[in-house]
Amino acid sequence: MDEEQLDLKAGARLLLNELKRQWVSLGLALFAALLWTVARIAIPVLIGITIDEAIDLPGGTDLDLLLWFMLGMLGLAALQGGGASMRRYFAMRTSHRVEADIRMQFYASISRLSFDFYDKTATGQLMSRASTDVHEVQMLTVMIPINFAFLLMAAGSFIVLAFIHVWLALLGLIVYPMVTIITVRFFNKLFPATARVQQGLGELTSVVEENIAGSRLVRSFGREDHEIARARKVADQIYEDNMEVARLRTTYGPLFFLLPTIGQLTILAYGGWLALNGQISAGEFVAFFQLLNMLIWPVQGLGEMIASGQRALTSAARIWNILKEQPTVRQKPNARSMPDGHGEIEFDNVRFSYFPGQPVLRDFSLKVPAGTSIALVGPTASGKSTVAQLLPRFYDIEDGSIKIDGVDIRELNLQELRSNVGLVFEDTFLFSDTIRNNIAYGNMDATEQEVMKAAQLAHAAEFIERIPEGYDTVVGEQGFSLSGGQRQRIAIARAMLKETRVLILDDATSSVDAHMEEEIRNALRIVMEGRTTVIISHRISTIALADQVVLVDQGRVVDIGSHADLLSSNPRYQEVLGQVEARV
Amino acid sequence: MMFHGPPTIERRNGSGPEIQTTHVIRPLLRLLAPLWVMAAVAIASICIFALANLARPIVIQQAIDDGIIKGDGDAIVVASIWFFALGIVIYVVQAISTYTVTWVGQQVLRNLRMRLFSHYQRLSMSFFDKEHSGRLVARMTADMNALSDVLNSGFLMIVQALLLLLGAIVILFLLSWQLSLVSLAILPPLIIATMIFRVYSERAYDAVRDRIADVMIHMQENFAGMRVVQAFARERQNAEHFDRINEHNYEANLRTVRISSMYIPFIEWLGGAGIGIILYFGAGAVFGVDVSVGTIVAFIFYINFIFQPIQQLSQVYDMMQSGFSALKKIFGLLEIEPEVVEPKTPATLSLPVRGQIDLDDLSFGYSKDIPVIKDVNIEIASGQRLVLVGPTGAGKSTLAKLMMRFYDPTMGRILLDGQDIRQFSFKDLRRSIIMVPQEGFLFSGTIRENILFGRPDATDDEVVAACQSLGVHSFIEALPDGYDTAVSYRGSRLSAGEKQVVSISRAFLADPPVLILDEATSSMDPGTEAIVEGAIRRALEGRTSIVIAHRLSTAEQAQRILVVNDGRVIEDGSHAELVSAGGYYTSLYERWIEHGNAAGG
Repeated sequence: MDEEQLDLKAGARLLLNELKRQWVSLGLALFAALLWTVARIAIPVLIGITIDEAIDLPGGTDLDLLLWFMLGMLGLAALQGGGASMRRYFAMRTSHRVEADIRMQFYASISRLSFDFYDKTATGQLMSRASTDVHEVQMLTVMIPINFAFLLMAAGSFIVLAFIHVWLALLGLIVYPMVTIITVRFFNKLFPATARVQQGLGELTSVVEENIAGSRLVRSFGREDHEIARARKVADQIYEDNMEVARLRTTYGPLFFLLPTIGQLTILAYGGWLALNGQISAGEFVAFFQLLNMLIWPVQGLGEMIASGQRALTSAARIWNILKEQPTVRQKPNARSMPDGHGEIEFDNVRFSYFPGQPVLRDFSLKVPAGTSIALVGPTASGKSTVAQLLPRFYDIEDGSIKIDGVDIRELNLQELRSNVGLVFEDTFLFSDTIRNNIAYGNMDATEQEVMKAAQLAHAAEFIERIPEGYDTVVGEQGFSLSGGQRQRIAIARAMLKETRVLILDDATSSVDAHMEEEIRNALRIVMEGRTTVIISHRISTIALADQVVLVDQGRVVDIGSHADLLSSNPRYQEVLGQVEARV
Repeated sequence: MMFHGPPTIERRNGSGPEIQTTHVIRPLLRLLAPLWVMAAVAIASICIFALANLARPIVIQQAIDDGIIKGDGDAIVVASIWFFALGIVIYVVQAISTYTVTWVGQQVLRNLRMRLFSHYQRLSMSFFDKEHSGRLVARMTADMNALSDVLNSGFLMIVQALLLLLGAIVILFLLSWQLSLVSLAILPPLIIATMIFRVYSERAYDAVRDRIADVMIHMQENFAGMRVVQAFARERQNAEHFDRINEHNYEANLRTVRISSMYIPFIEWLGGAGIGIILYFGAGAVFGVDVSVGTIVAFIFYINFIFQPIQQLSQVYDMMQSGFSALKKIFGLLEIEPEVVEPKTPATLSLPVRGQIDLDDLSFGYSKDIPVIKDVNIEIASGQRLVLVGPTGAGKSTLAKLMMRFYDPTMGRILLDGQDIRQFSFKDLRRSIIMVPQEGFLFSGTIRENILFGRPDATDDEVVAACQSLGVHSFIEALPDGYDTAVSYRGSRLSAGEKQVVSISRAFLADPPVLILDEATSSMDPGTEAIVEGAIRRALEGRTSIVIAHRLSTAEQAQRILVVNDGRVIEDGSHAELVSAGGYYTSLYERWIEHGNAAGG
């Protein structure tokens, strides 16, 4: 997915649609923001009025009036607090609702897509969209109500001040829009710089991970100094990028302070002069000063939101690019359910390629009678695993047909088809869940006894029972680490528990040692009974389980026969199995 | 902080080795010592910043009282000049402190990162066996980040907040101690509310971190394992499951907001109440003390100087705590000494290395009470080809690792050309003996770079020559970008067998006098394995080699076979001798024949 096209308009549409769905919550947040703003502006004004009307009087302080003003102040403070609280609550509610909804849509949309999508898209790509990009959108959403308030506050303050003295208001506030503009520029520069820092930290993490995982190799080849130099390069880069961030902060940070100071200085000098001449009162002078002080933060906040909005739109567009993807394998509108039968498989002149123009299977024809088993044997990249992937319709073929029990698989209900084809993959994937749930993955209704029986058949029970928590042990990336052979045995148990007509074992015993393989083989023999089985393996002993051996080379069926027949008659077969030393 | 940035699927890590709090200060100071000039500038600029900020309300007070109220124009001019001067001072010291604080922090971090990384290079394999790798990575990532927060902003915020807080209180009392006492009455509820809020909100944020980690883990797993999900037709159930997790995360987020929704109005109300109190009691002359209008305005400003620092300090408190515990973990790790150490004055290894290896009464166990190697004596003549067979866990790999000196034996010794390997420098020893492990490990980079790892100064032609001698040149050429195919330690598209090809090529390029192959071809497909095994046999002619076999076909043609079982050598001889001996090897061989493995050819 390099050089991705970003449709910012589609991103904006996505965002607006989400906001529209949350309009009640968002509306309440905006209403609360309005209340908050009114209180925020009223407080400095009230301070000014208090000074003029109750304190700075020729006859001394008017205590009764002062008490009323003070109560008014407490009331305004309560309004401000309540408004702030309500604004925050509904803003967060809106933004997290939007976040959760987008994430769910994203997840559901990815689950629908076909294998070709996963082939071309790295998990990290998806994760960064589901985390960083969704987070950007949430950050923008949460900022909307407070920035609405900030805008009101800026406008309201100007109006109030202009009523007191237009020129003083203009001169005092003239620098503030500059702060907003500079903030936008600052964040637009800061963001790529901090992203570089993050990227550097990510690189350092992979250097360290790799170094620790390969620590034995580093020592074997005495490459410690080389590794240190590699880490130093990244650490130096992180330092440089961090200092670049520091330079930006040093350039811009103090400006955010200096510019408002110029505004305040105007009030102090010009406003002070006006007050001396009696054109404004002492209280009005104080109100001016307070309001300007209060506005420092909002004008920066507005700049930050504009910068954040630009990023959020890009993020939304990146999310949209996934949401709009359509699955290539689709169920027909009136798909039929599985026909009766026991799993007869027929490949008829199948042509298939992962990339256009590079066919992996060509004129591939093969018929497996129900209940029998075949072993697919061939050199690396001959197309054997592809055959296994086509049967559950993970990809659609280009030409020819694949039938199960006489019906083209494209006519069938997809869910039913996949429930009827059991698959043990070459690389075993377990989920971060208990061993029990991993075994029951394809058959959630399985009883405890059924799970244990499957585990026993797959020779997994023996090691599971030795782990302290047994079947309740959580495995997967976060959990208890199992050896390759142990994982594979769980995967075999998982496939055994699923009642299927067809079973595909794609190099399923590759990571168990010879002794264990012998025992699993016995288990496989039991499971294969009555099911049509496709075995893909290099191990002669495993191949020998099958009724027939099919030699596959360059996407075609080259020879069919028993293992012994092929071994004695077909030199290519001998070569593929390493029984003769091939020419270099 | 909320969870964002690149998805790290790691929950909080265990504590790991920790040390006493007091032991942190000294190494920290040692790290800072060379940077003291900049550190002093940083601290001085922070102090000036705080003082200049504290002076501003006084200037305004003067302008109001002496200027506006008394009607003195000069006082306003003077105040304006002061205000301008203070603005410039603040502008300058803020720039200085921003830059210097980051500079010092980043210097410390860079040095500490490199110290820790270099330390990892010194530690022995026994350390990596015991320590969870995720934890070691976390020291370098999560803990360094926690430290970075403290150094970059935490420290600055604490000093600034404390100076402003204390300065404001002192000035308030100087202006009017009576009014100060009354208005500071809002402090206790502010502090108490802030503390209670911290406790609850920290708990709520912990829950958010756990929930978002659940979300990320679930997504990561499902995106990575989507093929399995679809193969088992579990899309719908998983989506329902994810919906629950996703909603829990939403709920956890709302809980944090509910807590702050109670705290925030209280705090804002207190702020307003403070102003009210100042106005009423200040101007009301309740104590019989006349407080001027300017003083009242200054009070209102100073109250802000108290409000913000208290909230900031409560935020920084957690940051400081995690920074400090990170520092303890990092220094704790730095204190661990390697178990296998290089001799101070290494013996010279006479060249060329003949490759004669003697294991002399060798015993070893990874943990003290469980012996893995029990009193083994083996003499391997220079140039001999030795094959080790035996069941999993017999100790074959351990023997190889001891020869590499990844561990030191608990008893006995290993001699290379007649000298104890503990007397050689690591460089000499590891140039002489190289082991190819079962797992073909790849560093991120290209295939060529990975092979060059064996001998960085080799030319491209030498790389190709090494691969040709192994018979894998055409195999590598057939990969998408040939020798320049990009690979990585994770997520590489190479199969386990292809990785093994690269891994053996790497050792061949290094061309050591003694080569150990630990099931180094086990994952290759049989066709490739037959080619590589044949090439290895020819290439190793005349060189000492120790091959740990996973298949008997490897053993069949060796000069000498050792059968290892339960940490001892139980059989020793040629294939023909052992087959007829009627022992372990014989039964192994018979079972193998039974499965038709020796047929054909």
